[in-house]
Amino acid sequence: MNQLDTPQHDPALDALLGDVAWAVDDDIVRTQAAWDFAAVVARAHALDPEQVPGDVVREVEAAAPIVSLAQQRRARRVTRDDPQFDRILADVRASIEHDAAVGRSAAATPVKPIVPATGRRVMWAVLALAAMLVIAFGLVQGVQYVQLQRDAPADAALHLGEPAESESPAATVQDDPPRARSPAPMPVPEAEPPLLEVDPSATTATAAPRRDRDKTKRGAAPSAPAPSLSDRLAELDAAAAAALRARDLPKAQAAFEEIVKLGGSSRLADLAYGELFHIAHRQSDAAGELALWKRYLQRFPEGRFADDARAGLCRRASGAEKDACWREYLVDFPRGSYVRQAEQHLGGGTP
Amino acid sequence: MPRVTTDPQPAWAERRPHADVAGLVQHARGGGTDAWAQLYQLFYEPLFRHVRYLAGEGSLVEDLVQEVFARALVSLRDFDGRSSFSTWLHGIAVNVVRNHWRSQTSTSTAHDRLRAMTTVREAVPHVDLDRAHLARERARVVYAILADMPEHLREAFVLRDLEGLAPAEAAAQLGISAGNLAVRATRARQRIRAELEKLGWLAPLGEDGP
Repeated sequence: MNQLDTPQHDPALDALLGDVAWAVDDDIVRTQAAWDFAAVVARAHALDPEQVPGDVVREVEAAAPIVSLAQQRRARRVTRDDPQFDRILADVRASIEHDAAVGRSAAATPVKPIVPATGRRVMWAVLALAAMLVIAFGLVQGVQYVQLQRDAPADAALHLGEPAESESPAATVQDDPPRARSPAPMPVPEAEPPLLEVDPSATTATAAPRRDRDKTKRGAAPSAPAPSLSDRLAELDAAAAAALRARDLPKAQAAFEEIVKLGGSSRLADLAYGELFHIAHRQSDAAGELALWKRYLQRFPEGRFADDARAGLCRRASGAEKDACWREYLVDFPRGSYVRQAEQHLGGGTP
Repeated sequence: MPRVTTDPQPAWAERRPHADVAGLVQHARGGGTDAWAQLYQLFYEPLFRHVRYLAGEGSLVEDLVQEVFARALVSLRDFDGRSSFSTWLHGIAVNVVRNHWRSQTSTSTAHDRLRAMTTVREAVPHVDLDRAHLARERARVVYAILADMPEHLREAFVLRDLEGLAPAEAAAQLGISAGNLAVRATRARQRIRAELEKLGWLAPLGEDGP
């Protein structure tokens, strides 16, 4: 290796390349990749029919679609020797994370199946932040309460009737009528638990007129129910993750089911369904998968796994029902991950 | 060509609760499509990232990733376990993307790339591009320069300097020694710097601002 082959200290080039890497990473995060394992197997069959026979293609075609789970997206490594530029990139990333969090909360938009772990982290961060705000607000009010005892200002009316600002955006979705769907694969109605991602009663309690509060309850004010539910969900999520690491699928399944039960239409419940799909798939529980898809679509007709669940139901359907299912899929997911497969099926061109 | 036998386990795999890769590979070799499905699920995102970095533009990445998995599926019996499955899979990706590069080579596209670079460079001093926009323009320029670079330099540079792989991992994917990788990556950097200077995107070394 000569002198020319020795890497040169070049902060300007490194900064520019840091930009390039950021742009690519940003594009990757924004890309909603279409997962299609059936297409992979079909292509493999075309490459080598002996290695991958036709019956394997048909088997995969009929099987559950593969969905992305909580995949960690690696944070971009820091750019070398340019702390100023790193700070700019950090700002940009923070801004993107914020936008992504806002975007994810808009559950009315059909979401693709990629579920980055950053999303879960952001969600927990939002929950933790909400809990901290509630506590902080409570503390501030505690201080104000002491002042109120002295000054007794008539400001209670300012707080009366205030809506709970932290009401989950999913609540808005619940108010929207669901889109028309194919009757054949649609699920049996499931009792919908209340929306519990952030307990509105906690916020209402802190925003209630201070003078109306029962003095005997003052001591209990800081332990509002919202953090306890968040804690419970966090606890369940941690337990589920630990069980998965220990490959204790039944235990993980039970924890995710509990999250689904408690989580209402929250994003956490949405994500938990993704894990349940995976567990059912690993357990080769075809009937369980089918039931899960139906339950999921009942609760999350436009959730982040809706595309996959719909396609799964279509793959399992047969005859005219299958045709109708794929047609409905194309209507509801014109840019879905399985459009190619739907078109192939309807065009009579199954691989 | 000597194969590097390092077996780096990517950090993301360790974080994955389901990442029993060796077991899955074994089952997949025995024809287990379910094992293959899990491998697909496990490796799709890192492979997508890898291919996206190599390809430089996003429109064909999904097709390229599909091709990588399909080729891996039919050649899994050739996987001898001397490198990790991840390295082997990413090595297939390098070959697939290499073929893609070759299919894309034409005078007209090179001309278009150059024109785009010039247009952007002329715009930059006069327009207050926001940082994200600027980053994307820089990405376009660097990938345009890479497109005219020899494959062996391009690959080394992308894996090492852009994707940020560890030397052993990048070398293993390319089937070369870590020393050879370092030489290629450094030469690629020098060429890229020279082109960026020529196009006005970087000041000559020593004339950089603070």
